[in-house]
Amino acid sequence: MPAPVIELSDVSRTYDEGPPALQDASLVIQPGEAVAILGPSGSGKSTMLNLIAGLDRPDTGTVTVDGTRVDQLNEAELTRLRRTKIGMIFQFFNLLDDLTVVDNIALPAQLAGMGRREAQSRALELLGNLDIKRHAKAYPGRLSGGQRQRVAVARALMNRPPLLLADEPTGALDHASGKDVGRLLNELNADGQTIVVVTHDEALAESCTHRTVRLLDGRISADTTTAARR
Amino acid sequence: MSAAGRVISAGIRRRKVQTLVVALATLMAVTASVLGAGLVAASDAPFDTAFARERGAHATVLYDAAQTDVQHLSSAAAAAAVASSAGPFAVASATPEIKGDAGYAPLTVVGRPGPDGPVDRLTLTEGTWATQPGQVVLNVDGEIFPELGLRLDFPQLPGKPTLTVVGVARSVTRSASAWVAPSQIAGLLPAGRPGGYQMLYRFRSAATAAEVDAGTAEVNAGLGPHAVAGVQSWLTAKEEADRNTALFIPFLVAFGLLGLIMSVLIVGNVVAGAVGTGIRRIGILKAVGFTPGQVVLVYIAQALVPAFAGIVMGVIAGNFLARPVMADAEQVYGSASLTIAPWIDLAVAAGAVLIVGLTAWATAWRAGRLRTVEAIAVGRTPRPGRGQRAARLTARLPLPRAVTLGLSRPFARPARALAMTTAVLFGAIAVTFALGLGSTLDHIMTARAHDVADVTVRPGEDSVADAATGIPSALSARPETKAFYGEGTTQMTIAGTPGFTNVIAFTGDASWGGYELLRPGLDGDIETWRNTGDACTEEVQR
Repeated sequence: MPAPVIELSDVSRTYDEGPPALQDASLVIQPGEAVAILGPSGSGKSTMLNLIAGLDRPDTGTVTVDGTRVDQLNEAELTRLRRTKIGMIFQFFNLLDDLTVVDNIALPAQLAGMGRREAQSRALELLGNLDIKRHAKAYPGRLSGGQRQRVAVARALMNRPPLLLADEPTGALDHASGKDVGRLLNELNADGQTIVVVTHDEALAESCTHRTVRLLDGRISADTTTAARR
Repeated sequence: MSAAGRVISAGIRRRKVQTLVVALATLMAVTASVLGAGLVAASDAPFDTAFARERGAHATVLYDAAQTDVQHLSSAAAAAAVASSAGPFAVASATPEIKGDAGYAPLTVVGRPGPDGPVDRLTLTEGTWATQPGQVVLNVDGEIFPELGLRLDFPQLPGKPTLTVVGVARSVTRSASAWVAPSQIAGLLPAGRPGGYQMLYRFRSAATAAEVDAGTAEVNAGLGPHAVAGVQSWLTAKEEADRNTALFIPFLVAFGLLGLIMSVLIVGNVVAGAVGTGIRRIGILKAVGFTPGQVVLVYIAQALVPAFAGIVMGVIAGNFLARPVMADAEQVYGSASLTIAPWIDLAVAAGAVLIVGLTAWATAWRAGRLRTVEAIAVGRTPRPGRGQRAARLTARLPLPRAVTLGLSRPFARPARALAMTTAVLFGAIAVTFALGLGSTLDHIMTARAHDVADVTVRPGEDSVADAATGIPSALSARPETKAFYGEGTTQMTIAGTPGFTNVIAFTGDASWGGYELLRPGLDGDIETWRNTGDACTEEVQR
């Protein structure tokens, strides 16, 4: 059995004086899996994703991504980890609105040390794969929500990360665009990309993942595999 | 271009308003700082600075040409007390008429071949030096308003010469009213009068009146009792200059310092605000792979590039605007060649780079250390824990909720609130100071103009005699006359005192017209003599 891409062990996180956002959560995700993390607002979904991505730190427990203890890294080390091992898609895209689409996508590769020309070439290739190459020179503000999310996906895939994390990727999109993004994630997973999707959207979870982890009040309440998609 | 370079250039190009605001704020701050620092530097002992730079004369001695000669004076300059000297220059005292107006005081006209020399280097503020007969250079601080092309007639002198103003110059010790080419002096002397010579001395020791007196005594040793017509010590000029500038220095220094403080606060606020609005962008940068150090560098560069443009333009603008301001300061301080020293430009530029860089660094460093998820969420989710107690307290106030919410905000960001309060505080000080000073100066000018009377009657040439007797009687007889006084003015020059002295005679109580008797007989601003023959002891002693 290959080493897991993600391993959470007894992870807890509490913000200020509130109740725990995540409590004693343990989870293992293998390479090539597509996992949906579902739950109502405040159940701890985004907290779990942020802990995996190293955007936040656990109070207790360990988080390991592709063999690296994320919870023990400093900010600079976390940044380097994100550059190489994690691609992230956010609900509100988080594109830099002062860079063109192609520059937004090329940025992570350039930061990882790739030359500008090579990075641009790879970015254009990804834009072609995602069918938005014609918008390469546009600024994100001129694109629709669905197009922007495709740009965000391209940026997340730029460094060929072993892990793709998506936080409510369809939350800011209309129904058609949401379905489109779901299809895209499904295709990526079919090509072997490990994907973790945090969402409210049961339909999205059903369409692009084969495993569902349900959270309730910061605890994992269910972890089911959809055999049909297998 | 590297990833960071692309982000920096995009941040500057695409955020035009922010870039422009930082550049403009820096431009204005640097301009104000150059001016402020220039004024503060110029206000540091302005007379002493000008005196040292222009190698002013410790003693300006006027000799009667009938009692001594050039050879004797030249040898006197070799006295042990003398460090350097200039002269002897021929001198004439002549009273000009300008456009038919004969009401001018006599001018002390010195024949000098040029404005330079080992002592009393004159600064030409306008025009050229007088090298030809018929040309004159006026002292900018003299009794005649200097105007190039102005013609000075001397109808009472042989040949009725006319001099045309070709230049305006300043002497730190006001060694003369006007300067001409040496060959011109003979034409300005009344028939049969030999005129005089002027010698300018710098002594080895001249810090005190005793040392100046000792030096003067040494150079004048061996001369006849009437050879010396007058001695002007540099200490007299210094005392007068210091007295004149004492009023202005605190104001100019205060304005300069206020400008500097305001500049620091404004640039700090603007840069902190500009970086602070980009916290979400900082979060995105971190999310895509920028390290905190790279984020800080990006934001420092993004602030410094427009700031640098503002600094360059500000230094140029500051120096450009300083010209009229420094010219006014020269007038006030009676000094010459006040300019913005290069070290001020460099210090202000370096200070601006430092302030912008430090402010951007501090704000970006703080933002860079935020948890990425927190930075990304800025503007979309409220940040907990800040100013909550203040919000709870203000909520209890019997005020509209919108107001109480606003009242609690400063407590959520105390550092920003403090910076804003300080900026407003100094802004209010500056405005109060400027308005108060303007208002005070208006009062002073009104008082000094002595024109508070409802009616001013100027008797014609034929009725001057009546002015002393008939007019006062007529005025006293009229029931609507509350008070009146008559005045007559003249000017006189006093050997040993630079410039001229205004003498005003009153026929009655003039105190309500703005004249105030301060300390009669001592060193008050106004001396009064009630009887013919009273001595002007204070002026003579100076």
